[in-house]
Amino acid sequence: MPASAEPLPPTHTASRSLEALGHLIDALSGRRMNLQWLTADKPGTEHTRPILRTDKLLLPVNTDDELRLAAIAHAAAHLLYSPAAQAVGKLKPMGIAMASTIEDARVERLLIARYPGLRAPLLRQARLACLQPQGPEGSFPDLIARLHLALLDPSHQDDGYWVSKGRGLFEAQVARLNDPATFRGVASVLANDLGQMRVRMNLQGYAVPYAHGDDNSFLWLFEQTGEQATTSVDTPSASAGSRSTQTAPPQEIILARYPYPEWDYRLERQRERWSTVVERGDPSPPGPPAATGLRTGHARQRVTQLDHRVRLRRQWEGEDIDLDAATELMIDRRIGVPPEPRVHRRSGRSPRRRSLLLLLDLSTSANDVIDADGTTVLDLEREAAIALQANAIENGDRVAVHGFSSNTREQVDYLRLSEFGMDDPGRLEQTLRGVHARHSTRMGAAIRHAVTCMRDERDGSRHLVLLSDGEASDIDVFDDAYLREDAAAAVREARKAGIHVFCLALDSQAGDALCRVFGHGNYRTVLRPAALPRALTQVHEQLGRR
Amino acid sequence: MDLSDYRFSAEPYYRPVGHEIALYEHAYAHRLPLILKGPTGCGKTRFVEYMAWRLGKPLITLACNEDMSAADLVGRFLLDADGTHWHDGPLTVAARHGAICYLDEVVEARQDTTVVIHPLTDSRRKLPLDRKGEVVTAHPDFQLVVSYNPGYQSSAKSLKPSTRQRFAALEFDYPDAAAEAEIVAHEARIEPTLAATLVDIARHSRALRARGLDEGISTRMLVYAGVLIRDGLPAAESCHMAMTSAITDDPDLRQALQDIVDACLG
Repeated sequence: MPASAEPLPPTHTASRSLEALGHLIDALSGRRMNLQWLTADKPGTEHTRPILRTDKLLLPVNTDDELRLAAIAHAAAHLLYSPAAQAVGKLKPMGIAMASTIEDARVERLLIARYPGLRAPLLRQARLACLQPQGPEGSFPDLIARLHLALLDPSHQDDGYWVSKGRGLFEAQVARLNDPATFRGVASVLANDLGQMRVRMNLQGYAVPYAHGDDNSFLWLFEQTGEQATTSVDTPSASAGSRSTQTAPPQEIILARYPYPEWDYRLERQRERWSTVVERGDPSPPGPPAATGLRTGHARQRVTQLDHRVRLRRQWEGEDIDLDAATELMIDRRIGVPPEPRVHRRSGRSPRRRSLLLLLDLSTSANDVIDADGTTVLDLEREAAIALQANAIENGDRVAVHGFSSNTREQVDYLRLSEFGMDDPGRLEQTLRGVHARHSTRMGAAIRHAVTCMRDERDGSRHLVLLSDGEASDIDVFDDAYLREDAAAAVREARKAGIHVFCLALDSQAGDALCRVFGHGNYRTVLRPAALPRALTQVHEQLGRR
Repeated sequence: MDLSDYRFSAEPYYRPVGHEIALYEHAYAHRLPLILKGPTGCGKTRFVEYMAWRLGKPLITLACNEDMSAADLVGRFLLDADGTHWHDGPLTVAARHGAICYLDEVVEARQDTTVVIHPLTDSRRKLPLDRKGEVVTAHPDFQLVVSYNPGYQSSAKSLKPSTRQRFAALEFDYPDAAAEAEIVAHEARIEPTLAATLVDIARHSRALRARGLDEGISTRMLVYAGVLIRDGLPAAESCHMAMTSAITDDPDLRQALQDIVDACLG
């Protein structure tokens, strides 16, 4: 998708995000809708009207906030009250446009009755359409815009004969607002009148004159459905032709294969045994341990939890009497010395026990060079992993470092670079030196396998920290949303298993996708790659304090 | 010991939504320990208060938390001028003197704390005070009721099967729209139409649970919003203060909720 060339919607505070609009349409329509920005395929072909499907709404990207709110309301009105995919029958284009307009007005009236607060934004767009007409007075778009406003706002004055007639016919049936068939009759009378008035409709350039109205493809079942679909829907079948010919280095011995399911958001179900995680052996042969640059640092404030093994004596309050202190108190009293009142014993706190798995994204993007010295993202990932391990050991956490990359669903490579309990920084550093970045990022499968790897870590809280560029992708998947939704499903499964998943991402553009996958508060983006090691250390210190 | 402070002099307002009152009475007749499950703010605590009033029993409530120890439940030795004396904890008081003991949000307590209730919740109905060397036999009126919210807690926090299997359970959810509106109108003393609108907002918010909202807007929040509106605050501001701002820190969810409030209020 050429989305990168498109300017992102303005992000001033008053503007609603795509996520907020998505929540809103779900809540209003009671459906699970997929909301996306509608971007141009090439310059000059910008879509100006939203496109509504039964499960998704595409919003033009260059719109203001008020228009977006009205578009959401309009789409919700169709989803709630309109019959979808009606047979076109013998309707001509003008008849279809007319019937769509009456239907738009009918469902907006119903929506306003249900949600009175949506009257203002809808009316504002209807008025704007009349103030900024798409054609000269008396032309088809002009008449449609005026009729729409007249039907929406009974107090609006319009002296046009046809508009008044339309309003009269509509209001006569208003008691049967819930019956779409009744209003098809109204539409056909009005379309007939237009024919007699010799009003022409520009078939090529016609767009619904009110900008919040969708293209009405939701309402009708045309002969060639799917032609207007703007996002291609592909099955993630392996495309053997485009398979990379890059072969694994010989030292990488395949240890085991694990099949995992994948979540297909379009089917809303799991595809069982869909992806295969290939666990590989130590990528570098054992050699002399390198000198460790381990930084001991100052004493940190450790994360603590209540621990019955730690008994604090001479406390102001507690569960038990501290016998020694109580004896001294009685003695003090007998000899007339002011007694020391701290006579209790209670449990103290000890450092919280945590297990932490750092999962490195070893896809091709990690080979990006970020400075003049030729430092790559992978170099920084290495440095960050080593710093994190040192920090974790210092805090008494159990830590493991794994890495992954993928080359279609049949080969999700997974490297266990350092295991829980193997706290030798030199060894990790050496192992990391033998790691190369390649292929793509099939995040869901890797998260599922990392969860499996943490299965035996039962003592204390468990955290999976993913270090990534933030976007799930693979060469056999063309729908951006597919792997993102699968990763979101994998994160949900991990959470159910009691594992907290956090993502530290290098791409600041990926905010929306990250929030979708990891959830609010469970990700952080790093603007400058150089800040990565430090950011990872900070993330580690904050884990579990939430 | 005088438990009059723990008795209800006036009837707490409770609107039944099903057979829960009869079910509770049967459970109490046999002194079955009870788990009340349900989302936050749906009326679990109020129900226990109402039942305690209805049965004429004192109610001792204890909110559980992670740092709570067994001593916080059963009691401990304290020191005074003459030496040590034992101080009963709330669970011991309830067992000894015949109250209903209500442990709110019981999964918040650590599992090693909750095991002290085991001997009280089977046929023994005894509470051993090992520090004191006494075994308290539960008063015939004693009953243990615990509550928890299965919705938002992670699987790391749940009841052990050995604890869970000692209880009968009553499941709660938000009442249907008409009943909920009636409750909000009564509790906040507002017009039924306004209460119905508030309930409408809450219903929409509960639909957002699939999109990352931990919990929908609860009946309790609606009552708060209603009270603010009754005081003369504008309805939209009251809803934002009592509901949308309070329920989530996620800016997108908050924005969507505010839009829903504005859409429903008109």
